[in-house]
Amino acid sequence: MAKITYEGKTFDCAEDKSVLECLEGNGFKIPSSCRAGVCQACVMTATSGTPCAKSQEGLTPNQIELNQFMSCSCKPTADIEVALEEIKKAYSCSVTEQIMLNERTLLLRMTVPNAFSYKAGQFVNVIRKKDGLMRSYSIASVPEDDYIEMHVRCYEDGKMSSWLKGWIEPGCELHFTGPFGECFYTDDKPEADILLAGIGTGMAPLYGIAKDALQKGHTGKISIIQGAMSEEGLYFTKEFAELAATADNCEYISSTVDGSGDGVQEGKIDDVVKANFPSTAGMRVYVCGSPNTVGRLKKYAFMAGASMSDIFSDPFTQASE
Amino acid sequence: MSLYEKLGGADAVNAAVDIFYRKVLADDRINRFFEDVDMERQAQKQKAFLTMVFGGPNNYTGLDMRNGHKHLVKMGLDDSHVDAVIELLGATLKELGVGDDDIGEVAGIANSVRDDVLDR
Repeated sequence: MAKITYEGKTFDCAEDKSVLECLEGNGFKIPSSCRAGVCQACVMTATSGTPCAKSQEGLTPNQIELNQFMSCSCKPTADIEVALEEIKKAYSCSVTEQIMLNERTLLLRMTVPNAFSYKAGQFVNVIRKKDGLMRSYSIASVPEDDYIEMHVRCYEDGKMSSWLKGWIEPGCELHFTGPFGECFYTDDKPEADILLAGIGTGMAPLYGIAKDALQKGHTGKISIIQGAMSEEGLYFTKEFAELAATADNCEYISSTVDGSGDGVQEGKIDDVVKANFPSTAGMRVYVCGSPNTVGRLKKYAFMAGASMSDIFSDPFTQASE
Repeated sequence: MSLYEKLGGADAVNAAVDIFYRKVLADDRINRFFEDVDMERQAQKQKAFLTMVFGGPNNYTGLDMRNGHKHLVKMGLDDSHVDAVIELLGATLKELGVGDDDIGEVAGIANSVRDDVLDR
């Protein structure tokens, strides 16, 4: 009989019972709805062991890579450890580089902590030890890099960004938990065209995802679109252009609402995306930036033909306190 | 063979969900009921709905249906909107090559929850 470990306790799972039924039978409340392997309300993560293929049918390749599965359709044949939300470990690293990329964007590079593994495009929660202040930042580097890179949007009254900009210097220790997020490249559709569109520091994960796709030998066309109000808001343009120049199948388009800047396309990012991609059918789409922009771009990508399961996003919200 | 098996089970649901959800969002009669919600979560709900009306296994009770749609009834959800959803459901299945008899059966299941959805 297979054993299921959940919240530190281990239970025997009867042969014809699903993970969901077993946990419910032991008094746990797990969200569920159709209980037929479709609606995904009961999705859990296998933190150890392998969920059966049937319980991953219809999940995105990203969910599968994160070992997520539908607990209603997984009748375990071997021991498995599961969690509703995987608890992430805390890591510490030391800052190696600090560069202002433009007036409001700070690039931070730090050492890769031992045993920390991530996928390009995921994010971490940076924690200030002295008071527990926490903010999420996406990773712009790829796992092959010997550093972790983040792009920090600096706000005048931003507690974390002011601290990172003013008080942290090379050699300082930085703490974070993670990695989090499902916005990353998977190599299951190497021939599909990819669109990566973003604004602000949403470009950080997109840079990592594009680099990762290129390193993994993606053969479909990879198009990166950056949007900003004016040229002052664009950043990392040289790095993106250089990245695109490394492969025939990669292009970089920068755009500004007011048309300022060298070689940019004029218009709001929505319109630039529409003009360049009147159809997104069959494409993989990644969108990062403010929640409103992400919401609009996602909806456009879907209505223009991309499948919901091929659209990945990471909305960046500004902390309210 | 059950209707759900005949339609193709979970594969049919996965094939239908994009088409159906796209039709819903494009339809000015009903899209306001589906706006301003997390698209991933909404797609999951659509999948659960499609599974149910395809005659697949589900655990919905009349009470779930009532509670799940009460806020929409307050927004003005009525018979005309349910009719529109059933119409789009039929158009989706037609696109997937499903025959009229089976479409009728699906519409019948959708109709059977109408009073619960409209909370009357």
